[in-house]
Amino acid sequence: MRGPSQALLWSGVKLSWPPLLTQIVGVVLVIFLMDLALDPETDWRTNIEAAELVLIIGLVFLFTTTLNRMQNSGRKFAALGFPLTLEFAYPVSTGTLVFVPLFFFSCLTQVAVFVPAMIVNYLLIDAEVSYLPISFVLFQFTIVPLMLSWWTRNGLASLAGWLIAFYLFAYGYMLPDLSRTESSWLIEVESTGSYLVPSLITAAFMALTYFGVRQQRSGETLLGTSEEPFEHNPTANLRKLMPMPASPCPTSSALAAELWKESQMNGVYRALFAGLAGAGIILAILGIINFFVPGENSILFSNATLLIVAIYLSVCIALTVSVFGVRHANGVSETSVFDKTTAISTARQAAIRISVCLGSAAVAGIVLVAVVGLLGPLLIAELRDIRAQYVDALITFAQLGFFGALLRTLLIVLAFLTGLLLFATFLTWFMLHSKRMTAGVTGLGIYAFMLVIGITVFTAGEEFDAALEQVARGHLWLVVLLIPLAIAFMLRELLADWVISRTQLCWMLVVGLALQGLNLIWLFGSANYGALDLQIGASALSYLVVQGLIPLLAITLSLWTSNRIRHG
Amino acid sequence: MNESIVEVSNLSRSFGKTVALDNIDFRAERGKVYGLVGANGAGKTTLIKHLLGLLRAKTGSVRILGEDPVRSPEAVLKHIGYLSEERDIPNWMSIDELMRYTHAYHANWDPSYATELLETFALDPAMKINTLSRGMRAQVALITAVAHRPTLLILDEPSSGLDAIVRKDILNAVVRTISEEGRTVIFSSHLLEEVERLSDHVTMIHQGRVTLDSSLESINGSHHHSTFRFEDAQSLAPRVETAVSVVGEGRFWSAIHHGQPALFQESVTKLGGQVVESRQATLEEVFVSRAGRAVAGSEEKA
Amino acid sequence: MHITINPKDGVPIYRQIANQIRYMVASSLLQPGEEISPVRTLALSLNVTPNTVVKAYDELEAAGVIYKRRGAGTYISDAQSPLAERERVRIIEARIDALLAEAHQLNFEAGDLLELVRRRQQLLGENRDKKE
Repeated sequence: MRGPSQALLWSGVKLSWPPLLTQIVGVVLVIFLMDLALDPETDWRTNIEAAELVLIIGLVFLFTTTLNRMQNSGRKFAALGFPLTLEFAYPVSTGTLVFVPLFFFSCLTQVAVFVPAMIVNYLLIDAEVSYLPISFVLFQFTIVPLMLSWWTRNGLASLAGWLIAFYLFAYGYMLPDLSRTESSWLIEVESTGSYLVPSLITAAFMALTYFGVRQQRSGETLLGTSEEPFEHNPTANLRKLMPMPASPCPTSSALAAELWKESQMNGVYRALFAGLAGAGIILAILGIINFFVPGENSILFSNATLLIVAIYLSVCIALTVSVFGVRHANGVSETSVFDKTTAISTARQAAIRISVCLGSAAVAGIVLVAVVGLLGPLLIAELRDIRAQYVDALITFAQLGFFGALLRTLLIVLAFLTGLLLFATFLTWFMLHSKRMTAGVTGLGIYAFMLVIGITVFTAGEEFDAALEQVARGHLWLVVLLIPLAIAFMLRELLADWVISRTQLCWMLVVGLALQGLNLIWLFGSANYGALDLQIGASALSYLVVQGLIPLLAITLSLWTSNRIRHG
Repeated sequence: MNESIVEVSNLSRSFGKTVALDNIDFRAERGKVYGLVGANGAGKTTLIKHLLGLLRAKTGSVRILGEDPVRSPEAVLKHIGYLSEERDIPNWMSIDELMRYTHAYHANWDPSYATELLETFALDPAMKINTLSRGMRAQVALITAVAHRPTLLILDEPSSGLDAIVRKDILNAVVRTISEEGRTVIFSSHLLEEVERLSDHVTMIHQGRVTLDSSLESINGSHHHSTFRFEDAQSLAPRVETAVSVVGEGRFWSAIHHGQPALFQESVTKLGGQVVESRQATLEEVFVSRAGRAVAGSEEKA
Repeated sequence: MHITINPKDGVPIYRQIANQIRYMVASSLLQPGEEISPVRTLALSLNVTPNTVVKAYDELEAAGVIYKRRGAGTYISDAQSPLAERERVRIIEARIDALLAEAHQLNFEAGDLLELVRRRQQLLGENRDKKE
């Protein structure tokens, strides 16, 4: 290696070639498997989007792994700003530092997409490909997000940048005038002149990134305050921002104190902030859309709902990611020794943490909906109709009767929180780098993904329902056997490790049975039975079992995870 | 006059409301060793970051070899070897890879010297950096700083948090660098013994201000530690001329004083006391007396 | 050449080095004409900056205890020189001053002190005779 540019390229290659190879091989393999598993008469050319989806997911995997490892020590995962801070103290120009990695990643995308795509195209799909337009699109979609995450450390400025870029993309300024032949890789560009504006905009972003990184090199950031010498806890900052009456920590019991601590760190402040921020983002996006596409029906009910759900899900994920106290820092997972050595049982600690976290998610949701529901229609006229529609739906829902509505709400909330908890647990296991778990889950994920793609893409209408039912029936037995087994196994280990006592175990089983009962009531309630259209019998029973046991599984899994974290 | 490698004048820096540096002047000549001393958070790291261009001088100026490190990072940084406080090195590389990576950035890198240091520290080049202990990490980071034989070596707390053996190794490697002709070393430390071993010149920073800035020899020579006693027990700390801090209780007291020892002795005699013993003060005593909180007898000395 | 330094005892490091070399010369542990470690070697073994060793050596050279041969090392001077003799006296005088100060602390009169010295010397002499 001679010279900084070569060194940077070398480090990029070293970091990315394993995931790159995985991506290429994986994509080709998955598409071949899909081809094998599905109807031999299916013509790929009519469903080329499926292959694209696989490619895109592979790309996401490639970039997250590479970029994550590129972080130097001392920076948190997914922190904003330029990641190569060590090199700031090396004799290398800022230009080299910024543009060589950008160039490298652009090339990486091209390789990661074209190599497997060409292989698959040659062997299976045999479609015509317009290289230049596709290459340009890939380039734009790689380089602009990279620059957007590197140019500043200031969260608000970064967000503004993303929103502006989103707007530019949405209104076609970032790409040349394209017209794509349906279900093919043939893309026609209006004129070569239409490449000009996107190129200029990208060049402008490059200049912005260059100056931004230069500022970061000398301890400042564009449109932000100077770097603090010590890293502050974000929760501490939130507490300063939102002066709420802070109650003093109770000294009467360990449980109460732990609860207070968790609710200070992950409770009220974060929930409020997350809810408000989420609502703000939603309103901003709706406002932008409304501004540029005025008139009736500019915002459809489905679009608005989708947006709210997507943003709220992101908020929930952000809130629950650290429920087990595992952080990702310095390229390694870390757990707080302080937490591990508190004089409180694992079960209680886990219970407190989980309930505070899930409570925050719920509170954030309520705040978000309240703000959007109240402020939205005031600011944007079109939202009034949407709100009216929601209110109607609520009234219909309420007509189920008090207990019916309550039960239904309870079950929906339960399912949602269980899902969140399961997600957090799996994510934590990933962060703890358990190789077996990772391999197992990845395998499962690929399998599930292929099924979903297969069904979604190759069937439609009635076929879709039939296919779904078949898959459900086919797999339900597996799940019916697997979940109770898993629960039994984990409970046994928890009992052996004294994480839960016999009494607690009994309580858990009682709660599990109660949930089963609720499900029974729901399923057999006349108003709801038709929903799933399954014949009563083995399938319905097994479905019941699964749905009632999953929350218990989630809790047991969480306890098991906490135990592993605490005792290694 | 010796050539000045580093010239810092009127440098001030605040982070929000916190004042990190308050009108600092600092100068480093070629071939000397400069010890920056101060309590944690006194401003040593902030000053060092300014020297490397990692912080921009908002008021005042910083010049390394006549250049502004923010304006021309390439030209300045190729003369500097830097050991950061956090030992910021990429976790995913192996030691050997890091050596090669750093080599690519520095034209004067001496691979044989790097290998020699690795052997002295008994480090296996194939080890991954994220498996290294704290001490080994510091050693590796030090090698990347010294192996290209920089004109100016800047070390931020080189042996903090390290066990005695690793500390000795690192000190030794630093001494080796110092013995090479024309090298200038600036290091910050709160281990005063280390500072006393290595420095020609000591700069003490307290709450962002320079409280002491002279050669080690003159600091040691001008500060004395004396013990003195009185016939009658003293209820308050005696106010003695030229004393920087006074400690003790009842009849027996000791003080660190600065300047003419004769003046001190006269003052003690005038107060009715008697000097028992007098010797040169250690750097630690000077530091504690100037930066620490002087708790003397039953009353705190103003 | 066995030298130890203690950064904590209030005596500047270079002076500790110089004193120890002087002592070794005065007590014949270092012979005249014997070569002593070069600056760099001593600095590395003591873990102190070479400038400190240079200062010590400069002081010793000015006092005539050592001399430097151009590009060929540093050596102990001739023992017969009156400076070495003065060095022995100086070392003992320093010890005596310390003893006197301590005696004063402990409220001994000069006469009592001398008496004690004579008594101790007698005792030591007797013990030595017994051993032989």
